[in-house]
Amino acid sequence: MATTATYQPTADDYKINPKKFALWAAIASICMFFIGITSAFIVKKGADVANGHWMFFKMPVIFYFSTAAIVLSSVSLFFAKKFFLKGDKQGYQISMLISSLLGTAFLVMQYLGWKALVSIGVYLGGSLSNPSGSFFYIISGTHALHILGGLIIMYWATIKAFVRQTNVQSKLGIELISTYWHFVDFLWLYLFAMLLFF
Amino acid sequence: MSSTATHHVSEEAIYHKAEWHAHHHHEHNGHDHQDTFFSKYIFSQDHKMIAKQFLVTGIFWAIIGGLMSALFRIQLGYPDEHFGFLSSLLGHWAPDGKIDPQYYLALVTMHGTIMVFFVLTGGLSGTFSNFLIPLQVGARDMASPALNMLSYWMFVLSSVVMFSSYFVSSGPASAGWTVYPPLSALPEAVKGSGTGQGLWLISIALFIVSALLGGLNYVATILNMRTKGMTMTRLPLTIWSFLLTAILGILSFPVLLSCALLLIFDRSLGTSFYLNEIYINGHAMVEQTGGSSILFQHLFWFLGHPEVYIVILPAMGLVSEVLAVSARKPIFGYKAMIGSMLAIGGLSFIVWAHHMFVSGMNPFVGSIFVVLTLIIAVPSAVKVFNWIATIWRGSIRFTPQSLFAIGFVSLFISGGLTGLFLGNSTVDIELTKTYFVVAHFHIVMGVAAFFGLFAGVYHWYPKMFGRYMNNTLGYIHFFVTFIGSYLIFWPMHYQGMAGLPRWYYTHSSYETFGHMGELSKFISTVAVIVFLMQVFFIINFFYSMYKGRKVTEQNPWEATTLEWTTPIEAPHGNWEGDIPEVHRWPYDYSKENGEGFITQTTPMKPGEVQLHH
Repeated sequence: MATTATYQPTADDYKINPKKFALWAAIASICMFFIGITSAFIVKKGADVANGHWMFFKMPVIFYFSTAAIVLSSVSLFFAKKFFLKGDKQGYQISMLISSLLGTAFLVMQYLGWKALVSIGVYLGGSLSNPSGSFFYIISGTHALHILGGLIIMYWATIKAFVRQTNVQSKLGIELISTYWHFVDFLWLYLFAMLLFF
Repeated sequence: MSSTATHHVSEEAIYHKAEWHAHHHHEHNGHDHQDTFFSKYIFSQDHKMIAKQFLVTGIFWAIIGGLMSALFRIQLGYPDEHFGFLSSLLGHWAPDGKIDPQYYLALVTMHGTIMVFFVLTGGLSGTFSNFLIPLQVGARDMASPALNMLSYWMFVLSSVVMFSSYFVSSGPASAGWTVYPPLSALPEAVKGSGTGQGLWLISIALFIVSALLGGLNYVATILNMRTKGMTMTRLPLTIWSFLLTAILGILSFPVLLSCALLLIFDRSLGTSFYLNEIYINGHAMVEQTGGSSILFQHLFWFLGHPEVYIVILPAMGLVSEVLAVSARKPIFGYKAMIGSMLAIGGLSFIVWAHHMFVSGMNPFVGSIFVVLTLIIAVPSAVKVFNWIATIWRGSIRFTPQSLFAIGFVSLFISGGLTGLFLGNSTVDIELTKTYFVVAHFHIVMGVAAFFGLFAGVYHWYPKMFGRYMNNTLGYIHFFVTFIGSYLIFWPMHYQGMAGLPRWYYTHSSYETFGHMGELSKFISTVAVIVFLMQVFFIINFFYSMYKGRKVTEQNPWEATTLEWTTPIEAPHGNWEGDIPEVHRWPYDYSKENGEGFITQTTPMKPGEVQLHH
């Protein structure tokens, strides 16, 4: 088995890194999850508005701030990647830290938003709940889980940025992180618009 | 491609090489060349070992799932008799040797769930996608061997959760494999909708994660890690079928996850997505109002229909390959085969509502789904025509795998034809929820997919284990299973046309169906015999692993594809030297020059024209 050492794929063999590709496929998969759930939302709302079952409520204002936080965290991650490729270690460290903190702020504000929903009488479940509220919690909640997954990787990368020498050669990690993070950011903008306008 | 050429190599390639080295570091390091038992057989990252793990787990589930069907067929065939062994096997679920009606529903539900997900998705696609993708595209391993291992262990975890539901006091899930609410949401409706259904949902969620991790790897490997010269139109049809299967899985399983998630919330947290003012015995069972159970059906069947193609496409791929090798002829209509698979894959996403013709949908909407459904007959017919044309006048080698492949074509035709009846909403309204439906889907996607699986196992067993399976046992296995399957499912069509309903615990208590008792008894007897006869396969499989005739030639079936260019006992990494380069398509059989077959690694001769239908 030692002979496997002769293995050397050339650039021609891999037009795109298989792991990057797998991430894009995973993104397609996550999209299908949210397409499924939001189409259920649209169909259900259409039927319930028609028969008067649907409960309308005003989205708590904190969700606007959380949306701003997640957009800013994407912006800062965009610069983190630039700093990384330039080899600017300090810039990279600081922008990674800012991105992670903004991501955390997003999650905290989502939580405060759910508390605000409860205070205006919008519940996830139980006899006082209505599908309009349940959908809001489940759509924003499953999205928050995707943010949480990304955030764990972000913190791991941030810690790595401070304790280890960065190597411009191995840019795969930062590329994978930014692709995923920008995706969950855009995903939230879509879900936010859906919950706000539809 | 010597090591001095590093500066030409892309950074991704360096990354990949470094990873490969890290993985095998201990082997270069000297004294310990052996993998430990755990790293070789349990937590292996070698796609070939993971494939075998999927296969053995699939066989375990097939035995359980098959046993379930034998048990409930005993109830259906002999509704008035008592069997002592049922009591000893099922305990309080079969008092006095007769299966409890609630447990009968659990058996039916678990049989469906196990066969569809654990055997024909995990066991079939999991085994052969893992085994054949790197070997046939010319890659060392999957894009991410670690995620691949994780995919298998999520499958195991999901299996453990599902299996544990047999041992909870209220029994396993009983609302059918389609788990329609409100039946699946209320333990008051059926006992199995208590803890058993909860475990079912958790298990399926884990299964979805496993299927997604596997699918991402399959797609990434096929599209990005093909060896030099392996263009998309030089891929064996097996690989095309695995690619489309994986894409269908990636796009449809998440929708099942969202569907199951909403059900979990309805069951546990009092939301009302699917539930609406339900009364049992005059008592309000749920406080929720405004839910729609039809919503569940739409979400479920959006996965559910692609799922049947997730089951059948890999079988189609395996059969195409086995038929060409056995008939010593190029596959007829290679590009038409790819095109028809693409068409089937695409159509599978827009026909789901044909499962719901009686759900009260607008007949106009129904007629659109009728048309789309019937269009699937076109690519299916193309495939059948091409398989028959492939073996037409071939010098067929009647090995067990070729018999199973031919059997697959026969079953696919028989089962496909009844699909034309069911795809018409007007006929479906008469036939739905009868044994006609049971007969249809068992032949076309149940037994047929099993035949594809068997063909694959007999064909690639020498590559998997370095030994042959016993042919005599294989022939007995084939003929008993083939004839038995028709004897079981053919009469069911008549029962269904006469209106015999599915899911009923007993038919003998209805005067209308009384005269079918003997026929049901016949079906049940054959079903039990066919189940027991699978022992020929099980014994053959495990016995041959240790005592089978040893493989001495690298390419025992004289096939053209890349997996037969690896050593008989292929190491992790598959090829000992460089990965071979590919120069031609995979079906160069019976060339005029009398060579019989030309491997994909043979360069084209000057002036030779690529044979391509």
